[in-house]
Amino acid sequence: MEVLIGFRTTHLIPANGAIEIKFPANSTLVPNIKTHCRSAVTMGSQLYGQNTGKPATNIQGEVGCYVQNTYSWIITGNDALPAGSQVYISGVIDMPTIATTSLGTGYVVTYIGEDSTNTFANSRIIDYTTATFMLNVNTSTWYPDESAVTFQTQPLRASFTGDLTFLVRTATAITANNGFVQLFLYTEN
Amino acid sequence: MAASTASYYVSYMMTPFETLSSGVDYTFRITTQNNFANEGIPFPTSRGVYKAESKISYSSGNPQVISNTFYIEVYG
Repeated sequence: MEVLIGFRTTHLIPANGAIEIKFPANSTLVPNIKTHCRSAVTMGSQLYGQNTGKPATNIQGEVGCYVQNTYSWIITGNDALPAGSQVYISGVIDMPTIATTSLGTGYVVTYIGEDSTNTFANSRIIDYTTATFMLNVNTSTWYPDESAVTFQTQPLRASFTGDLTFLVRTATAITANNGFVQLFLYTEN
Repeated sequence: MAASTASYYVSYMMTPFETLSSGVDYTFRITTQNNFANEGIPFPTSRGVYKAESKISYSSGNPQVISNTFYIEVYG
């Protein structure tokens, strides 16, 4: 399933910095996170790649995220990100294997650089925040409302007098001596 | 139900003596018992498509009424 994580930067993240989205380390609630994600800043532009300098104003490149230590997305390769930027990261994780309303406590960290094996331990932290990763996963099965009434059609000829039969199926039981089925037959369409 | 240009309807209210389970097909049959030869509901004398509505209330404690609109065709 796709999840969206948003946060606002307190301080500037320089080019060559990194963003870490750390999911709760719980294989039941977060069985797997995928290496594919997308980003946006202030719900509009992309989180730009670094300035290539060719031409000087050309900022391009794809910002990606890779999975580090099973539960973290590391987003790198972005250009400098000003303080106060509203950032959204959207990516794919596997569904929890149990019903839950929360994935547990995770955190979002920004860094001045990155590390190929453990960014959290080996890189300098700029901002750090923890949050409950909310999610509503229910075990109930979704049923469409199956209440229906079906009429016979064959004997309905003009001037016919006879029985009218119809079929009723409801999604909820109709209580004896209490609920009702009411049928209205109109004289025009 | 008589054919007419006037907009009116007849309604039939059915309250079950036993609880009707969910997910089960129940056949309802509307007829008359006058001990005459031609029992039943008189249908319109002219062909056409006529509107019908059904309303279902599960119980007085669950007063939500499910309403469906249908169109039944009376052939000439």
